[in-house]
Amino acid sequence: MSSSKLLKGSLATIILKLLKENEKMYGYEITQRVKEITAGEFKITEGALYPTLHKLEAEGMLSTETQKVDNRIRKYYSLTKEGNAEAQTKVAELEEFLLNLQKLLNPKLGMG
Amino acid sequence: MSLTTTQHNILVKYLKDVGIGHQEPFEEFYDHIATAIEKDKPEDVKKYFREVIQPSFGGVQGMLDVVNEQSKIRRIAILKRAKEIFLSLFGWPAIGFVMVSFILLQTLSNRFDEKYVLIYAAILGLFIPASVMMYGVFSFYKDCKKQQLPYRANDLNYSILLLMVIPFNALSIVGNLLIPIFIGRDNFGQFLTAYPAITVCFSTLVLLFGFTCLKLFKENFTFKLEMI
Repeated sequence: MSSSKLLKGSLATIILKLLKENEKMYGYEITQRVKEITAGEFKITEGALYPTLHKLEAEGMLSTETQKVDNRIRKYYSLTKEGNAEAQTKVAELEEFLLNLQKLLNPKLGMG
Repeated sequence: MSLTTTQHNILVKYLKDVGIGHQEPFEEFYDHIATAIEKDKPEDVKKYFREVIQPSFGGVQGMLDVVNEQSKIRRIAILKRAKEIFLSLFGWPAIGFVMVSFILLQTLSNRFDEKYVLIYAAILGLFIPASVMMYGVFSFYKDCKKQQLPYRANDLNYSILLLMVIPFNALSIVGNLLIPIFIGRDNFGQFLTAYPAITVCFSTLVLLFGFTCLKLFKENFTFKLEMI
């Protein structure tokens, strides 16, 4: 399985986590931030990013605002109160999952 | 650094060719791709679209899927809100409006032919909201044209427009299918006279639908071009 397939399942968590650390972000900025943090190892495609952003917005996890930048409209996403709580839960879930996965893949580390 | 006029024109044409014609996805994709061009500074923008942008969206179909998925989410949200408004009419104090509508229609039904009650309800409940909406769509179109924007419509407005289509379709089904089969066209007038309560209840529901639409327009409809 390619890393992009593994990444897809965690995309919402990654977006929520990034928005928790940054007050507001726009689509392109999110893709670049992920690329930067992972030194290019993870690449979020726009085809996966935008549906996830729109879904999170519809679920009330994200709110949006628009600003005029360089004579064009830029849409910024930020966490709502519910989104903030969800980010915490999702990140904790993913961390626990990764810990368990590590135990399975490398039992010696898990026992330590 | 902003896009050059040539780059802007190529990008606008590209998005139009892909089939993105509504304000929200157009603005979001335009900003995304324009930012990418500004950062990567490609020599050949068309090649850049073909080799970098398009694949990362999952091709042209991928771009359209993003747009359609967002429209679907928006339509569901609009229907949900419409349902909330409609049901809220049966709570205090809006129930007063429902009761007044019902009594008014009942009085009309006693004084005039049932046919006129239905026409009155259809004008207030269907044609007034439809006219307001058509005015809104036209007004938005005019604004976009005046500002020479590459799009002429707003996706949110279209989601509300679809809601307005529901009663007209329902009327068409009732009028062309259910009545001829179960009552018979010729007997319909007699049926209405025999069961005035059905006419009054149906007309009240039409009025409430109209009120729901007007409230929804007030909350969500974009009559004038503005930042989304």
